[in-house]
Amino acid sequence: MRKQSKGWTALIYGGLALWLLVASLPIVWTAIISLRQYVDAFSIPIKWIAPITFDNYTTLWIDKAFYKNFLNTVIVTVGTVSISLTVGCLAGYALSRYRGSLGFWLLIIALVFRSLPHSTLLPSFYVMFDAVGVRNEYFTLILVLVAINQPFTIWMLRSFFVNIPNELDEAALVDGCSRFQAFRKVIIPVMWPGVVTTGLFSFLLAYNDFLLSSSLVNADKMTMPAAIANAINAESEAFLMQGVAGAVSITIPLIILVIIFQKQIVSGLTQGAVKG
Amino acid sequence: MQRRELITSSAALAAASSLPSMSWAQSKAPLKPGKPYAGTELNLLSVVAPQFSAHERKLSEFEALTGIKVKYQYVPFAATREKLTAELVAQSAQYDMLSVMDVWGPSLYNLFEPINAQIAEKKIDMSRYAGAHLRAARDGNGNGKNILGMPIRGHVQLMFYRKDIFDKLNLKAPNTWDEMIEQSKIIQGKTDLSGVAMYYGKTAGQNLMIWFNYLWGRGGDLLDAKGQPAFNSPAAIGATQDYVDLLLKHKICPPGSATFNETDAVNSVAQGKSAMVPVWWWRYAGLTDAKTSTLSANQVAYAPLPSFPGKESTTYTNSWFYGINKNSKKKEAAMEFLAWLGDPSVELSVLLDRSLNEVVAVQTANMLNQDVNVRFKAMHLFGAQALRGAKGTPLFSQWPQVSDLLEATINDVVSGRAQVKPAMDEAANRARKILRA
Repeated sequence: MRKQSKGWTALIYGGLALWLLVASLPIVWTAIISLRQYVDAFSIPIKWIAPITFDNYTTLWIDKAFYKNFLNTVIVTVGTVSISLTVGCLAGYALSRYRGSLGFWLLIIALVFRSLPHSTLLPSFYVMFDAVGVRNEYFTLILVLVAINQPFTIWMLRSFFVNIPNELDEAALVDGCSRFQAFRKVIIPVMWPGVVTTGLFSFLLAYNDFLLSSSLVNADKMTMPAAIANAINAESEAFLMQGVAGAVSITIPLIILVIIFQKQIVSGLTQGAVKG
Repeated sequence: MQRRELITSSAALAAASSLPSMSWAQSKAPLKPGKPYAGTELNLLSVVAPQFSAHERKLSEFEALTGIKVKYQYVPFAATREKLTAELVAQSAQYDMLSVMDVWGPSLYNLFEPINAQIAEKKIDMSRYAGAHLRAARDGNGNGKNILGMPIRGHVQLMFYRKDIFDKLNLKAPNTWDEMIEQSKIIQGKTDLSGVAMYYGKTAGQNLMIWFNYLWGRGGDLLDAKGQPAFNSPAAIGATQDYVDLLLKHKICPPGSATFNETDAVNSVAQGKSAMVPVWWWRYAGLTDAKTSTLSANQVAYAPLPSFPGKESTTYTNSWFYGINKNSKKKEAAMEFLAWLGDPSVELSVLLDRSLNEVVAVQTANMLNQDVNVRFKAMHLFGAQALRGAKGTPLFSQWPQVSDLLEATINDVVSGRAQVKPAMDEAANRARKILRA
């Protein structure tokens, strides 16, 4: 392999560093101004250095009880990811091994359902949930998020299962496993990175959902994105800064999650990209 | 009271001191005796606004009077219209009362229970609201016979200006748009401030809000008597040209005005970069709060919007009303709440609450109240005066689409992508198709 010149390498690294700076600037800047008063955060010209204050965070988390929205998000996200992955793994595995035409049509129907704009489903959700009196319930929001998310998880997990040779299943069966035991003890451990990757995408859908959370449940059960939108859209500059603090607060768990699972995420994405 | 009499703060304050005062502690809300709905719990769907939070803090007073509990369910502004539409389609009874912005009204009339009979029974005098606000709560595009709710929140526009700069340069608040241009040029010649912060960017129709005042001031209108586009009439073309010339010809607006939204323009003044901004009155709090502005209350003054020579000042308006859900099972209790919240005393108590800096008022009596005008240096007198001749927000179901079209047209013109006359003609043609649909 031809050795790259030092100049060329420096250019590439310089370009990447510049790109990193440009890409991360909005996030970094949001984090910086979240520690300022509005007058400094939006000063003209830009103030690179300004007094630091934690007012925006204390007002948001304590006075405005943002911790309740955080807990709501935890409940909704954990519920959605758990159900989505459980159903998705079972369905994805079954569809990857099933050879009949029904499997194909099930996947197509799932894809069509996934491609529908969420807002078109809202009125029918209202009618159904009002009829049985379950609107404004955590379970209702989780159920809808699972319904919307499930086609994606099934498709994604199926693509991982398809790449696992049938011989593994057969070997487990020969060794005395039942079909479910083969699935649980042999197949799932092999495709763990795929489960983590799919789980992460499911997590992001539930965690970042705005429309359903702001529409299906009341303020006391709203998740963080809807609560932040409440602050940002209010007719008050002071509320806006609480929204900025909220935006930073909502990002931190995501960063932690990616750091913890980065190996599985990269492994899962690579597996899907190369073999899927 | 003539506009000229009010044009300076001192004159306005003098006028304010002669206005009637009213004790805000005395609620005269026409509530049913005997607390017949005690124990009822009402759900109210509302967007977030400091005024509504202030109302929420006073709910204990209402509960003590009626035994009714009210729960505010806040929803992000960005999702509100979608949510209201879904409530309408689903015929849901989840919320007993809902808040609606004027321009959404025409597509949501069927969501609300007319309250004419209850208003008559309770002898509520609806003339206490300015016409521009009340029409937002009427069906029939603001001209119907049914009243669908009580106006709760309403805005008028004022010209905010740097009092310290104006005093230093011996200038008076502009009476006419031409005066505003002249003063801007003087300010730009003698200071490093831009004259007037305008907002021509595309953000939810914000670049039309001052344009309407030019349009009406020149004798133009959005639609003609047959409901067809009239914004390309000679008067309207002249008005639009005047409006964009502030930036293009006179160059009295700060850099970036072509993409500014309302917040950017206000921030330009708050950061000491512009000397004037014509904008909603609720912006006063942000312009004078040390956390959001470099200016103090002594540096910021206001006046009615300028007009054309010999013409009354105008204002675009923004109004919100609270209505009762047609499907609610608790309509009577909801009406008790509307009667209480709609009583002038509640609004007055918020206006005079020193722990708040809330200026929003829709009740004419409160806008003319002496204590209010002393506290806010005659701001509400200016508001009441502007409301007298206000036409109000356009109310027809296709307005959101027409608004998108017009704001894009204005932005094209200020960005140099189009000329006023052909752009407005083209917009009118497209608006006709929208109105036919």
